[in-house]
Amino acid sequence: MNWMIKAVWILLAFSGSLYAGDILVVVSKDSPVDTITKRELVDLYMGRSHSLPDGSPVMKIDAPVDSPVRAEFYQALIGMKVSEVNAYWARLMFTGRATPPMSVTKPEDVAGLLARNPSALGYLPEDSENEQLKTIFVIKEDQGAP
Amino acid sequence: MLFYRSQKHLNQSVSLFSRARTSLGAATLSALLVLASTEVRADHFSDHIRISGFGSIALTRGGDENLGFRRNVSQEGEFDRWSFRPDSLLGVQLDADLNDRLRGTLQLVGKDRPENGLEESIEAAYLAYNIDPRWTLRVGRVGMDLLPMSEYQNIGFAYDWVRPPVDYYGLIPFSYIDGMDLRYTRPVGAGTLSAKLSAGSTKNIYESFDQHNYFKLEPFYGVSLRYELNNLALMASYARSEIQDFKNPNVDLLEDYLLSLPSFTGGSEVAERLRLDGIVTEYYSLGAEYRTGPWKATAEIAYLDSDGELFLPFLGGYAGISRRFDSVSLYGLVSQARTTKDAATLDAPLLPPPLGHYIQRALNSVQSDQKTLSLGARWDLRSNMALKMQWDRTWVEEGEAFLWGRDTEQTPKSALDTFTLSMDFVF
Repeated sequence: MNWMIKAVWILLAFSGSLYAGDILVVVSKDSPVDTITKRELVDLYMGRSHSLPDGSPVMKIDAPVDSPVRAEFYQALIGMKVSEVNAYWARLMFTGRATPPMSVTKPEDVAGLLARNPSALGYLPEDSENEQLKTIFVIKEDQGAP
Repeated sequence: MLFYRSQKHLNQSVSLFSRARTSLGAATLSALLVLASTEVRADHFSDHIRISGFGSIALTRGGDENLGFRRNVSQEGEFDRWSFRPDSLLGVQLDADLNDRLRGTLQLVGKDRPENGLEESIEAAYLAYNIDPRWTLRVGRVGMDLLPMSEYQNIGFAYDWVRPPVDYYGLIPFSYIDGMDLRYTRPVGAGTLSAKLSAGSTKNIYESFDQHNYFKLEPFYGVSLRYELNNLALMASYARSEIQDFKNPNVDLLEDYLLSLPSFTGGSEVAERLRLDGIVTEYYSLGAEYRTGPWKATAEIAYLDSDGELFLPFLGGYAGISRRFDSVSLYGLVSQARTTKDAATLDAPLLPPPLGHYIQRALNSVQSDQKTLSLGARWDLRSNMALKMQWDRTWVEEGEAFLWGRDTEQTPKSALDTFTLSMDFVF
């Protein structure tokens, strides 16, 4: 029985782990976008709008599904746990209301995709700045949910 | 979700669509063709195609010797035994971005249905066109939000409970129409407002006393509103439809016989009363979802209005609350629903007595009055998989068990337990 309790604790601890540090919301340096508001970011990542405020199409990129940075991103943005975000997106996707952000399998893929696609938008941990990209919004480490 | 990338354009498939006639059937068909041709030759197209899916593997035990548990009136009842049938299903969805504004979607769902051909298994097949960032038009077989959870009731992973509350969702087993919808979305205040107009028709089958009852809702018109903030969502909807092509082997036989009786018996008036074709049904619903910290509360109320004596008006609602402990949520809900009109009384003393008695029993059989308390847990095992457990205790009034499988309408007042263990996933 003991090992089961341990396993449950490890699972719980793992699923609760968050990334600590600022999160940078970034686009390609060739993107016409220079800034974005938190509201616009929330609307994009929650499937409520499909384009940038100027009407141009956008390709949203999500960090790997189980990554700490993704957990922190949604927690800071709208106070949702990853499990809630996943359930929320299942609802939108299968009713055709919105197309989910494109999820990459490896954390390092985000920067590459962003650099190659001027219409793409994504987020990265603060230490992964790169000259191909520009930062348009910063989610502060201590910034809680609204 | 798998992403396929490819090289050339989809012009061929799109022209296939534009050549098709504009009737809704043709639109649905061409949506299918577009998707089918895209799937087969995915290598040659530039835009990506996504294949995704959802499912529930659920073991349910409910009912007793008189009342058979069913998730909705399209199913046969399960009489006090464990079964995968009521709540298990598997769905696959194919989305193809045909260009920046046009998307095709095909969704197939395998589940327990009275008839299970390809046509019934297609839960969505439409083309969606983004007219501009605020307006979207969809044509084909599209989801319908008659009740707040209608549109995603098949996607167990998307909600905490093992199924939408049976007390009144059980009465409305369908979740789509063949037709079109137009959605408008815009920011309002701190939130987002979206409004949707739908028009079309839908075919249905429900099961009573081991017989299939067919009917169509045509025309079907609906309007729904949704206002969403980060932690609050409000929904309201109204729909109106007419029942057409109602078919039940027993009612048909009965009608022929009644019409053959001499006019002084009143047979033809009784036959007229049993007819459902042309009856107008109206649906009203309100829903709210509120989230604060680890707590989430949900409430809904719905009313169905009808003049049909074999289809009584109905009032139902539920309220639920969940508390999340990291990846585990514990929840409870209460729901209640009943037909709001008593069964019609037959006043035809000149009909041969066994016949009058038989018709009265048929009129009585469509009554429903029940309430349910449910407790359960959802454990998100992985980012795309959740394990759920739920216990329901349902109290059903005497002779008002329309939502249950049964052999006779003369059912006793009952308290029934339903146990469900379910694994819900998306991919």
